[in-house]
Amino acid sequence: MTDTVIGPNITVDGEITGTDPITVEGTVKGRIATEALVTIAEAGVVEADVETPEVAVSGQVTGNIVASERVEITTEGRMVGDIKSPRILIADGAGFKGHIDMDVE
Amino acid sequence: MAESTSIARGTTISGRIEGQSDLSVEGRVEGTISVTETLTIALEGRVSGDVQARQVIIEGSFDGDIQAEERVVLSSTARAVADISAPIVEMADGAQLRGELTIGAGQAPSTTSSARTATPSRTTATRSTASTAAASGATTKVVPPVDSGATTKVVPPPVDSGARTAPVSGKAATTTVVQDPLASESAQEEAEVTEEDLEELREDYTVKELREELRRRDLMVSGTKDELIERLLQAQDEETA
Amino acid sequence: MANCTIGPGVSISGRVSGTDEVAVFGSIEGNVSLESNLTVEEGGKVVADVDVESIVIRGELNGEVVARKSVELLAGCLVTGNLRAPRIIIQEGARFQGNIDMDVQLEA
Repeated sequence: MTDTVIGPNITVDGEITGTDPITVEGTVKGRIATEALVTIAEAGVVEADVETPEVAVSGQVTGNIVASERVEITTEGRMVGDIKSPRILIADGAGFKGHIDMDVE
Repeated sequence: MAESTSIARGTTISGRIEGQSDLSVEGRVEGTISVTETLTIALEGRVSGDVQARQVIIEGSFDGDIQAEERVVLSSTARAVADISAPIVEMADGAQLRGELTIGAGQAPSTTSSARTATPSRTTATRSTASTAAASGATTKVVPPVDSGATTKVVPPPVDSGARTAPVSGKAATTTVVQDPLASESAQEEAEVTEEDLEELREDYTVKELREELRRRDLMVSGTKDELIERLLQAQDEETA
Repeated sequence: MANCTIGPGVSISGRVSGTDEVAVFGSIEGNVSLESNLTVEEGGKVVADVDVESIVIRGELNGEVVARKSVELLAGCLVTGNLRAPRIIIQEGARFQGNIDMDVQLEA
């Protein structure tokens, strides 16, 4: 199947929606909403709110993430914004500034 | 069986050509061509006027309107300024075309085509005479030019905005052109090209609409949107003057 | 292969710009501006003004297209709008409605 990849020299300014996984190696400004994994690769820059089941951040994110399943910020990842998700992983070396909501009772 | 007619190099025909056969043009034709089979405009051939045929193959140069029942093929050497309508159109790399193209049968008429039929009365007039004549004439015949209307394509159109209800012709026409969105907005304003005029045109008109206006005035249709607007406003001023 | 791909289940509304090739299997609504090639694949749908180096269309497109090099309409495509490019290639079976501007110079 053809997966969506926003390549390293591409900028999307607006909204990305859909049902398939999305990999961002370039820049996305606006909003991402999909029903599958969103991967922000090392070179990827996301200035957007992200709504999806699962997010893996290895690039830079400025914005809020709402993930119904899982958010992972890897060693290379940098994020400024709020995260709301039941499972949140932040690796050693990752950068994060913001609010975390894991819906703890 | 259809036999073929050809207009050789060095021959110029101005007028109407009708027939139920193939026609190949290596010379020059100015006027209307209506054949039931294939019209071929050979590499050296030059045709300006309106064409109706089952099939049209262009290798040379063409200026006018084409309506083909089956297909139009523009080969790599074709040079055309044309409005073309056919179920199938093929265009090879290297072919050059400027004009409106409608490919595919049974497409819902768009706003473009309705706008187009409203403007050149020339097209509809020549077409109807051509088809009645084609029905009666069995062989290829050359009718001398009766009206100059068929060959005026290359000549700039007369500044007669009454007949051509161009949306931007507000100044030349009377101020009561109400269906015209631009005229109703700016009719009472001055004719000078102001920043507001530009801004207004930029918002109200698509590039496509602007081009149609320019084409109607036989002006260049290339350039950026701003260039188109500027050119159009200039033409409008000259019409007023 | 283009290194930016918009998959079949994905829609973008807004502006897509950049220097790399983009292949669209999904949909884009808005504006596309590239210093490279855009391919609208079969099933892909673009409703946008497009400003690119070149464009190949197998799917659907509606909008103003300006290409610095070429526009190719392949069999099965459905295109409405205006095309402007020095080279325009149309395959048999392509469907198109609109204006074409190639800056033709007819001999006098």
